[in-house]
Amino acid sequence: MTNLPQLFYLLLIGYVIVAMNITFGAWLRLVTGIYIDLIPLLIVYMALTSEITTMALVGAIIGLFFDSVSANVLGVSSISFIVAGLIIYSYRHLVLRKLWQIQYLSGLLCSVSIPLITFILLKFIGAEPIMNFQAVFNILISGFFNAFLTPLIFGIIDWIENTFNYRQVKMSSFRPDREIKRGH
Amino acid sequence: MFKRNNLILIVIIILVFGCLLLMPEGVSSRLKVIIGSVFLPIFGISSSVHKVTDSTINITTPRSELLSRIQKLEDENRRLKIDLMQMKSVWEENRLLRTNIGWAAQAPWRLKLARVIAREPSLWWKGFHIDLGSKDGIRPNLPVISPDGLVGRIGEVNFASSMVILLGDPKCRVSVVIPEANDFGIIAPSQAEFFSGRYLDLEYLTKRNELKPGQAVFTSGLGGLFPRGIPIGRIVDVRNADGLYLKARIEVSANLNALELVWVILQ
Repeated sequence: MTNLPQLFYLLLIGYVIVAMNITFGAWLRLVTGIYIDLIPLLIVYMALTSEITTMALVGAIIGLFFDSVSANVLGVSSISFIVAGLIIYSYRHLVLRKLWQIQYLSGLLCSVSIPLITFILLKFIGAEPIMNFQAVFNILISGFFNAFLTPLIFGIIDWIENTFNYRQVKMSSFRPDREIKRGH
Repeated sequence: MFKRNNLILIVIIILVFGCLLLMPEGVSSRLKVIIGSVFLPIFGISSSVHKVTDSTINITTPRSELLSRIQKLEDENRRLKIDLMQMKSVWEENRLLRTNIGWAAQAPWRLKLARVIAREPSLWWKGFHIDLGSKDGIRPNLPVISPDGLVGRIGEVNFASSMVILLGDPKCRVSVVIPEANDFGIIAPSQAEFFSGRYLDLEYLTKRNELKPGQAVFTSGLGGLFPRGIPIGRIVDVRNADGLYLKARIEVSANLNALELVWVILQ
């Protein structure tokens, strides 16, 4: 059902992204004022290329990783990652997933929808997240910035996948059983 | 599009995480500590990188600059020793007066230096992780300060690291006093803050005529978490919140975005 090596390296990538978020990403945000979070891009990648179970499992575990180092309520990010992933998964059979325009739009949709779903969930359970002009500005800016990064992330993860997985056997259109034998 | 089995699995996952959201805070906090321990190596690396950077800077700094810095520090040390001498006599006088009128004696703060090793990754909260944990005697709700003033309080505590909830986070409400106006208020997150992170709102103020820009704001000691008299910042402007109360904007003394070293008050 689920491709285990793929599950493993997607989790590893998720772990690295969360680690970057709490170290370099946070410093970058303080210096530039721009919030860059690469997790939505990983969710887009999984929703457009992986099986639905892989997407849900990796999204849930990365959400737990994220919440464990944040002041978020535990589990809130997992739900928002899965829901955002499902939204993208629901239209993936209708679009050309390899087109950068589709990846760009999906990156934008996911980067904006994840914070919004998280915010709604936090409000729903009675938490008081800060939602001021700066937060809205950050969500929009990071949405557009992440959208530009999405095709790049697709390239990087594809390269990692090709490195860790067996190479695909290229099928030739030649079929020996259909060869016309001549000269007999 | 969605196969039946997959759909059931996803519904189960969402339900499990829905239950996680509704768990009591204590259980959720313990689970967080357990799951967060997978990031201990990252915290360790971050702490080591800071130490290596510091030692590299020390090696590459010219000797003349180091000598001038030592000279400055020695001068400052002498001045502080004189201040301390004066403070000791004031402290002793205060202790005697307190004994005479039957007030409980004030204990001096026990401080522990901590280094900031990671920052809050989400948009909604304000906080960072420090390199002190339960092994160093850190407990939830201990006050955290910098030489410029109050920084926040301790949130979740791991074995070797802890999370600090900063001023301006909805989970860090502080009762404050403005001695010049003899008014009390509560620190709240700023609704109009943009980038700098240095402005906070001060709510539930009442003294309309006495409040003025530039007045200093200190912790009031009410509420029991923060000791009285820790500086927080200065009033920037005052406005009407509703019919009953006033609201002020304050500029925080400590630059919460640029902190690298902080002190935890253990007692």
